[in-house]
Amino acid sequence: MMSESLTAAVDIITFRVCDMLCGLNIAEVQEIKRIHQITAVHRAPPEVRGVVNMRGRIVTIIDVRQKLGFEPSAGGPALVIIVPHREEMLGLLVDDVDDIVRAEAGSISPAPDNLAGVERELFCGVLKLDETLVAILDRSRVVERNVNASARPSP
Amino acid sequence: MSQGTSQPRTSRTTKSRASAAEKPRVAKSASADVTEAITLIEEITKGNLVLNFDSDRLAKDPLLAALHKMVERLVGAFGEILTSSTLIDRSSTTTNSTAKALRDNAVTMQKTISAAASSTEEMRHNMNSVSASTEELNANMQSIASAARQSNTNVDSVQVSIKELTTASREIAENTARATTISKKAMADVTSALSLVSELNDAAKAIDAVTATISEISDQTKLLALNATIEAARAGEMGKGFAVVAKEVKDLASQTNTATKGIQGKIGIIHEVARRTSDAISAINDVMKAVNEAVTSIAAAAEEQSVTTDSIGQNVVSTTERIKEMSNNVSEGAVAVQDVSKSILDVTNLSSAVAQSMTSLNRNASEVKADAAASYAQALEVVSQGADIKRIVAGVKLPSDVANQGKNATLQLCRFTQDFDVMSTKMNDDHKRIFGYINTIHQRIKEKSEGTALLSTLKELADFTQRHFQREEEAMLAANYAAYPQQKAAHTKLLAKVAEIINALESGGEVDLLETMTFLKDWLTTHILVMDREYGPVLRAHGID
Repeated sequence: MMSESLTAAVDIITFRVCDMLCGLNIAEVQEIKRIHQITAVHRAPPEVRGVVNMRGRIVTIIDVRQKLGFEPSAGGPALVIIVPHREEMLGLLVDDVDDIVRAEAGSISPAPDNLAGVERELFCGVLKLDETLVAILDRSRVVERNVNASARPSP
Repeated sequence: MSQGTSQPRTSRTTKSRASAAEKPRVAKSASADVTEAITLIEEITKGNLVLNFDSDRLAKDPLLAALHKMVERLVGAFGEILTSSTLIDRSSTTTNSTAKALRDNAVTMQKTISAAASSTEEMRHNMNSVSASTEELNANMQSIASAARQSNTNVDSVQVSIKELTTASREIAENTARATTISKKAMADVTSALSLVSELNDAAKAIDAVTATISEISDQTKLLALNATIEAARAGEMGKGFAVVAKEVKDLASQTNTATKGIQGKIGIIHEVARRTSDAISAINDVMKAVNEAVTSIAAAAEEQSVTTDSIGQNVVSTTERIKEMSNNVSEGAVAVQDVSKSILDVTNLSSAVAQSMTSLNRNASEVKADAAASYAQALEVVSQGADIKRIVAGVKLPSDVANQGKNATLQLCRFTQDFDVMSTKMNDDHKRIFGYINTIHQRIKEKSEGTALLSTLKELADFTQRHFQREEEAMLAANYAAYPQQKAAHTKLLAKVAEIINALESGGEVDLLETMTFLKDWLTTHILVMDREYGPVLRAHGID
């Protein structure tokens, strides 16, 4: 994936988590959905906000803000980026979906070590746009249950 | 001395002769008659009338009888003279003192007149000063009148000012009324502006709602476009055209979103401006309310002022009237003062006349004083002459009873002397009593008695005289007296005259008492001396006493 992104041009969906502009390769995205109601799951980890029924399929909703170590998002209507992961569907709860941009080959740099305030391991690279930077999330790592800022063992 | 007095005189002489032992003796011999007569005459010449005559020889010797008769008559005459001179002396002394009193009275009167004259002068002076005061009063009145005129003018100008003030306050009232109307309209306008702003706000809100919907739609559109793009990417080469469409839709949605955001920004500005406008209008509204209240209170004040000014105006009008009234009163007062001034002038003139009268009265009093002095001097002369007579008579030696006769004589207006003898004891007594009445009246007049005392005496006199006349007439009839009718007529005339005087006195009329008395005295003495004395011998011849 990484190598792929470096060698060929890809489409990146950009979205906002708090003030942070993040991105995902649209090849990893099923669709974007506006969710009105989330059913909370008892004893679920903190980043799991709950589940929704989407056309008969159960989608687990992960709060990206929580995952990235920000304040948890408020309740109410939410934008969810649906991503398939190992035969199941996960929903990444984000604050706003921005755009889909074309990342030419070589435009994505490796994520810097000192990425401020968030766990470096959750990112796979940084896309430089005209005036801003887009942090490309690593889908596998984001959806990994044990990988998050709060649960991560100290080095 | 008249005849017919021999009877009482003879007896008196006989009596004196009996008592005088030292009197010169008359010779008894007939041959010595002439010598004796010469001796007697020499005695008489010396003034000695106290002589002894032998009654036996008197009958024989006619010369002695004649001498005796002469001496008797001389004694009688001197006795009368003595009596009269004593009375003159006494009366003249009284006259003297009366004249002196008259003079004193004249002097007193003159002094009184002088005092009255000076009082009159003083009164005139006072009048002059009153007149001056009145002049001053008049001047004061004039100045009051002019002051009243001045204040009247002032009040007139005040009145004009008040009228102007009234007009001004009415204008203020009108202006404030207009201002009230305007401010009310402005407030209404403000209110409608507020509601317009509110409407604008509402409209903006509605636009907000619309833009929210548009925004939502554009969001969904964007989402749809993104999903379409994801789908197209998944379709690979097949989905490329679709990806282009999806991208166009996504750009449209993005542009819509931008435009909507712009609209929303503008709407926000509209909201803000509307809010500020609303606040400003509210502030204007508050100001307008304050203005309105101020104008209302100005209107009320102006109204009040107008009313007050009206009442001041009325007061000024009534004040003007009062001042005019006062002015008229002062004018009338001035006229009255002028009248008073004129009256004072009249009184002053009158007092001048009185002063002149006083002066002439003073002159008269001086004359009276001079007259009184003259009469005093004349009285003194009379006194001196009376004294002379007394001295002369004193040189004559008279029988003591005759000599004493003068001393005993009382001062009487009518003295019953031998001349009034009518040879009838009864009638003589009646006549004496009548004389007594006349003397009483005379005395009363001298004592300055009141008319009533005189009246009673006069009535008594009239009463007695009537009875006396009756007696006389009866006697005359009894003696067949020839002149009875004349007597009767005279009596009737007198009684009528006396009755007339009494009537006049009783009715309080003016009667000259002195004249009355003089008339009575003259009438009676004349009547007795002339008429009554003629009936004496006739009555005696008929044996009537």
